[in-house]
Amino acid sequence: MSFHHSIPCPDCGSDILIESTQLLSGGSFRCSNVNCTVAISLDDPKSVSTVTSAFEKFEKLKEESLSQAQNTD
Amino acid sequence: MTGLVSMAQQFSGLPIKSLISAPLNAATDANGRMARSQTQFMLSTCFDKDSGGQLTPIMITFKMTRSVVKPDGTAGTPVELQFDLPLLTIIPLNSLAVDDVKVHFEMEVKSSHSTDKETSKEQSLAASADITAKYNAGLFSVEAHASVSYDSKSKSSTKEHYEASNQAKYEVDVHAGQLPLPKGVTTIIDAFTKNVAPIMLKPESSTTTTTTDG
Repeated sequence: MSFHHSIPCPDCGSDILIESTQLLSGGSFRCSNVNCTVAISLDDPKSVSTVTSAFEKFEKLKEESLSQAQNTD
Repeated sequence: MTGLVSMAQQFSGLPIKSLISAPLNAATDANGRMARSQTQFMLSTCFDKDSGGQLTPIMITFKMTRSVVKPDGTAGTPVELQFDLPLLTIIPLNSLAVDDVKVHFEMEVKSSHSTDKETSKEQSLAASADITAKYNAGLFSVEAHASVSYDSKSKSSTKEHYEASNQAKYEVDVHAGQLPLPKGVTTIIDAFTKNVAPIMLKPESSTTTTTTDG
């Protein structure tokens, strides 16, 4: 399961759409406004592992929330 | 018709309040649980807590690459810049919650009553009599004939038909969707997000002082 989210462009502030799976695999995302790309720094393994762990926890939380909602009735 | 059930009476005993409020209460409870679990997730995953209880956002390192065009129009070496981004800003934290509860209640009470009464009377009674009388009186003679007949038949039948059916259906549809984040959380994320842009330091300007005499 992947997430779509947006982060602000460090240069112009407009939204850059990112996708979690591509982000973790080192993919870069282009700002549609200015000619720049952003990506997670693979030189920093701690950042990658932190984001991976956070995404996994978030996915689990989402599944739990959905199952809670379905059990409401 | 006395054989039909009273519709108003059929619906009067229904626990309408419970039927509607029970799923809504359950949805509210579920929303509360989901909100608490998301808050816990945000605080435990996106922040570091020091010994004094101070929360510090966990930062992750991103790199930004910009292409460079030289004055002569040729492509230069792309410039790479590293910047830190709070983890909080890249997780799509939207409040997951039950946003739609539909309660369908259908109840059908069918009642029909029909009476088929068929009465036919047919009596059969047959009787016949022949009477002959003769009387002679000198020159005169009287002769009388009489005949009596009676026929009657009787038949009776009654049909009655009664039909009644009840049907009840109770459906609760619950849909979980994403609700907008609370204003406070949005403000925190916005504050972090705005700080993503690097602070550009201006080159120190060299000031020249010229003195003119005269």
